[in-house]
Formats: sequence, C-alpha cells, structure tokens
Amino acid sequence: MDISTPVASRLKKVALVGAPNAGKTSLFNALTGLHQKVGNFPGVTVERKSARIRLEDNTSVELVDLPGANSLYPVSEDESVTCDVLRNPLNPDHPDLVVVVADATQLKRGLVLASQVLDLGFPAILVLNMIDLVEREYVHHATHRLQALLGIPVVPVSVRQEKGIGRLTKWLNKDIEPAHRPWVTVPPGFRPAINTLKEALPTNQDYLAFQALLDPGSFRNLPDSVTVQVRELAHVAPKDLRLLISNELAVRNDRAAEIVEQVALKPSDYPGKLTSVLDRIFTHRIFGYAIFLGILLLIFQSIFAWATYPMDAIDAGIAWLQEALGSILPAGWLTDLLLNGILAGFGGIVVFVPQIVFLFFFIALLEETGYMSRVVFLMDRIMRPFGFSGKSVIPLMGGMACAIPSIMMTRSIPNKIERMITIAVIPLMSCSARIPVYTLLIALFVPQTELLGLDVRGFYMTGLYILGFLMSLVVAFVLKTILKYKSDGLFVMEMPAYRMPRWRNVGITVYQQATSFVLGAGKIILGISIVLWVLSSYGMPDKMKQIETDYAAKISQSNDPQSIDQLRLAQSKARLESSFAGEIGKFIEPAIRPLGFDWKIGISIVTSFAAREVFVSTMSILYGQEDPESVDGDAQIKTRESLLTRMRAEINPKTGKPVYNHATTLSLLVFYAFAMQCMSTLAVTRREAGWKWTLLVLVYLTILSYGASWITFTLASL
Amino acid sequence: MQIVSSPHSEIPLTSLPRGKSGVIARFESTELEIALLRMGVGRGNLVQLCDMAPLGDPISLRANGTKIAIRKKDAALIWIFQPQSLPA
Repeated sequence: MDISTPVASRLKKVALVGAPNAGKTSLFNALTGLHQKVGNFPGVTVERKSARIRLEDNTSVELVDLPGANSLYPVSEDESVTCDVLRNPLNPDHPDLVVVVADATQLKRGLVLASQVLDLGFPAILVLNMIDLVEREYVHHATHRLQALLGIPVVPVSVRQEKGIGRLTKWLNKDIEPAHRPWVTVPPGFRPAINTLKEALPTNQDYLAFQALLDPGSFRNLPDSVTVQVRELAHVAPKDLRLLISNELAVRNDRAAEIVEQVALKPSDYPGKLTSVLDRIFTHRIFGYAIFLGILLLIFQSIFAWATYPMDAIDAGIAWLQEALGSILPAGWLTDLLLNGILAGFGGIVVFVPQIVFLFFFIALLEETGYMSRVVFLMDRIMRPFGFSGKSVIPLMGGMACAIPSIMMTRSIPNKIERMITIAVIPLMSCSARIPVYTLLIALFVPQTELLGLDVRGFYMTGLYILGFLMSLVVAFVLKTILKYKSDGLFVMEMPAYRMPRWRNVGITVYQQATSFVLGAGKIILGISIVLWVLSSYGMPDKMKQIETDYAAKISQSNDPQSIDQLRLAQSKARLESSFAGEIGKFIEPAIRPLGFDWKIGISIVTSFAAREVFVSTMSILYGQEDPESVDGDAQIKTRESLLTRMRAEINPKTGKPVYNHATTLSLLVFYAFAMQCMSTLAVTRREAGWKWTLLVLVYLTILSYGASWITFTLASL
Repeated sequence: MQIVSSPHSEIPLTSLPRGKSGVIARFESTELEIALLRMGVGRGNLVQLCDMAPLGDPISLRANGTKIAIRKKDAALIWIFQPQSLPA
C-alpha cells in the first residue's frame, strides 16, 4: 500500500506539551512574543493559543500551545483537549512534531509524559527547561545520555535567561524520526482487543488502542458497543481499568527513575531551600493569614480606589463622544440608537476594563510567583465545610470585581461538585456594577454623618459586601447538603517553588483577559443595550404618536427656551412611561408591590438586565433629570443631588407618604445584593456549567432576592 | 542488628513525624495513586512529610523535587515502610 507523504507546501504543525508548571507557556511566549492568535478549541471554552513563526531558513511552522497536562489520561477539560489533539488524527491541531517541555529539576515527571507522547508514535523533541537551576557541569553529559536513552533530540533551555531557545528553533523544521522502542508494550492477552480497537479507531499505533481500552470515557467517538466488546475480549472488568492505568503509570515512573539515575542531572538545591524558608512565613498560622489579608486589602484598594480614576476618565470620554457626535449627526432614530443604544452599551463595557485589568494583574502576579497555591493551602480547611475547595477563594475574591471572569477562573477547581457550588454563589459577591446603585440608594436615606471619624455611609456599603459574602456561605452549605456532598473530593495540588514573576507573562495574561472580557461579555451587554434601547424608545404606536403630537403642539406654542427644555424633559418622561419598558414596569408592579416597589422601580429593574448600573441612568430619566453619569465634575454632583431630592420628594399616591422610605430603600438594596440581573453572567454560567445549573442559579437567586426583599420590607415597615 | 520484617512494618504517612521521610509501600486508593503518579510520585519513591496547614489539614509532602499538598484523609491512605529498623 502506498502511503503518500504530507504535501510539502502544507505548514508543519508543532505542538507544545508539558505539565502545568514546566514553563510551557513561558517558552511559547518567548518563541512567539505578541504574535499570538488567541481563540478557543472547537466545541469547548479551553483557550487555544497559536502562532506562525518564521525560522532562520525562511520556512515557517505553526506552533500551538496545548493546555498543560500531567499525563495523557485526562482528568480535566484542559487535559482532554490536549489528549484529543494528540490522539485524533482528524483534529485540526494534530501535530507533525511534538515539543515536550519538562522542568529539568523534576526530570522524572517530564519523562513520564514524554514517554506517553513517544509511545503514541510522534516525532518529538524534549526540552529541559529551567536548566539554570541544575548544576551546570552535569548538563552537557546528561543531555547526551538522555538523547541516547530516549532516541530523540534533547535541548536544554532556560526561558528565564533566554538561553537555548535558538537551538530549539533550529530543530523545528528538521525531520525527526519517532523513537523506536516503546516504553510500555501491550500484554499478549490484550492482543485481540487491541487489534479490534486499531480497526475501530482507526489507528496503526498499539499504544493509542491501549489507551482506548483503558480509558474509553475520554475517547468520545468510540461507540459503546466496541468498548464493551473489547473489554470482553481482554477479559477485564470495568472496575479494573483504573488499576491498569495506575500500573501503566507506575511502570513509566519506575523506568523514568532509572533513566534519571543514569543521567545524573542534579538540581542545585537553591530553589528548595528558599521555598522552605518562605513557606514557613507564608503558611504560618498567624503571619500566613495576616499576609493574605494584607494582599486582599491591596487588591480591593486597587479595584475600588485606584481604578476609579481611569473609570471616571472613560465615563467622561464616552459622555464627550456622545455629545460631540450628537451635535454633528442629524437628529433621528438612527442617531439615537447609535448614541443611547450602541455607544452607551459600549461605554458600559469599557468602564469595567480598569477593574478587570487590576484584578488580573494581581492574580497573574500571585500565580507567577507561586504564592497562589499557598493561599489555597491556607484556606482549604476553612472553606471545605461549606462545600468549597481552597481553590474557590480566588474566584470568590474576583467576584467582587466582576462575576464573568471569576466564573471562568473556577476551572482550576478539580472537583466537579466543589466547582459547581462555587459557580452558583459567585453572583452573590457584590460586583463593581452594583457600586453606583448602592451609592445612590444609601445616599437616599442615610445622611452624611460621621461615626468614629468614618462616613456612616461607608458602613452600609461594607455591610452589603459582608451580606453577600455571608449569604454565599449559607447557599454553598445548603447546596452541599442537598447534593449530599461529603467534602471528600480528591485534592492533590502542586506547590511550586517560589520565583520572581516574569513580567512578560503577567502582561500577556492581563492583555488577553481584558480583550476576552470586552469581546465575550461585551457582545452580550451590547446586544442587551440595543434591545433595551428599543424597549424604552418604542411603545404602542397610537400612544406614542399621541405624545408626539401633544408635545409638538405645546412646544410650538412656547417661546421661552427654559420652558421648552422643561417640556422636552416631560416629553421623554411620558415617552418612557408609555414605552414597552414602561408597560413592562406597570405589568410587573403587582408582583413587586409586596417588596415596596412601584412601576418606576420596576422599569429600572428591567433595564438593569444589561448591567446593574443602568438602574441609575433609568432613574434619572424617570425623575426628569439629565443622566448624572454623563455629566462630569460639579455638574454631576449637582444633578445627583437633585435626583436624590426628587426621589425623596416622590409621594406614593395611595398612602400619601414618601415612596423612598427606609423600608423600600432597604428592600431595594437587599434586592440588588442578591438578584441575578446580569445577562452576561447567565451566559457564562451556561457555558461553564450547562443549562440545568444555570436555571437552578437563576431560580434560587430570584427566590432568594424576592424573599429577602420581602422580609426586609415587612420588618422595616413595622 | 537485624532488620525485622513484620506485617506491622507499614505505617500511614500521617503518623510520620513532621520533617521525616519514608518510602511509599502502597496506596489504599487507586485514584490517589494515579493522582500522585501524575506528579511522578509512586510506590518505592521517597516522600517527606513537610508542613501542615495551620488547621492541621491539608498537609504538604516533598517528593520528586517538588512540594505537593493533599488532604489529610488522603494522606492516611498512603502507607510507607516503617522508617527505622527495629533492633532484635
């Protein structure tokens, strides 16, 4: 049979494979810089980074950074992606050459992974990264020994010191022979099963078929009938498969240990010693928690104080743009859509970028230095009784900036139930979009007074954050009890040696997170903004027409510019009241009356679905004010103050008392603390946890917010 | 001096004094064994009991040139050879 060689013109595909802490991504960054294409692997949300790089001889290869993997028997979604790329020849990323990146100080582990890659029949290169951390005099000898023992090129590299990278690129366009001697051979008793699998897959690699026999669950395209058939052929019970996997890995581990012994690559003990000393401080029973608390405070300081400067600038910029465009463009619905739909929606996204940048800067920094795993180590026992994992701490923290990236961060939690519980409670953390709402409502009923030298309003604000956090513990505990979870999930976490952060990695992470937020969540926020613009600009045609003709007549009769402004304002108020959004507000009024809300609050709740802070601008329109967000400086304070005055003056026609009494305002605050009012969060929850879980989250948050508001209103009205 | 080999010569990792090392004899859970083999730690390998988190759980091990944190109840499923030989 003639097997045609790959067409020369096709771009050679090179995949980077390595354990999570082996420095694989750093090597990828060093090889490609910012020329990376970031996307997702088809069908999953695992990030795919690739780049086309040009080599010295002017040929090019396509380099793909596969997700970190400890072995080719996948336990996480990330590892499943890596396995599928390597196992499935039809996968678009299936490589022609695999670069296995190993940490030179943990050579044995790297060899176990490399041996699996070799047994799959790939031409491969082994990179010994962090070579600066092993004693230099042994490197040359060890490289040669390894090369001879493995039968593939071995390249010592130090990404940190930028050494050896050129040597690696020289190998990328060479034809490399796959290694000949397999590390693990198929036992004779399994032959018939392996042959059947080789036909079914199809493949000519024994080891690939062996993996399919042992771990059929991770071969999605393998029919169940074949799985059952081959298990019978091999005479193995399903429960013995895991045992066979552990045996295979043990054989590889033992062989790798022998090789490590022979090559005698000695780690200089520098990182280990420093790490022990630092761990005594960072995981100390007092200092450990104190340092973590200090870091938390620093992160909050950055999100809530430092980030306000760029955020105010963005707000002002958008307002300026709206005004500038408004004066240039002809009046009409298209301009209105552009300015108040699209541009306002865009502003609503971009304004959160500074907070996202700060949050991810710190998280990337803590990850890079190795400190993050110490936080997990400190917090696991404390978080566990609530059904969390120690790894839930970081996403929960992130929830105070924005739920969307935080829900994505839960991927690092290996236990599925712990991850699901964490995803379910993240929306309870008070995110930054709630700040403008809290600020307005607190100012409505709490006078600016001092207590212990601090603004009393600040205590209310802090109270709302604590309320959200405490509720997340309660809900997590309830979920854990309902799911009958015993908090006994397997938890095995590497605590890598401390190291100085590589700023290039931090920068690239921050840049990629910010762009993925703007493009991902941004699409939804923008879409909802446009829908809301339609809902609040249009109503039943006859009613809207009536308003237009009524006000047109009134305005034409008036000469005084001031009263014309007044009429215009009254007109937009009437328009909003008769719009679809207004109709919805009135329609839901009976449902929200027990919470102390009227139809105006109803409209604001509906419009908040794009982003919670829209509450403030809707209120401004309803109370006949200019949007306080779009005016800067003194004017903003003035308009906010007059909005407050008008809201305070609003009288309930039925009771004759103010609408915004203590009871209603408190109830509204509680409602905003708990309600699921963010379409983007729902979308990302669905992506990460599926439809059913999203529905559960939506239902429980709705019941919780309604119930808690009702109780608050009832108690406060007594 | 004579090395006594008795059925009692294996102890769970959790009863090892802090800072002491031992050689892994067996794992009581296959899943745990796979999880540690993924980090390059298996039967016959040396492990050192390093630190405990402030509340006594999880604990950290040093093995194969790295530190690994595991929960206490899992550590109790790792059996190691009694580190000292008993004088006859």
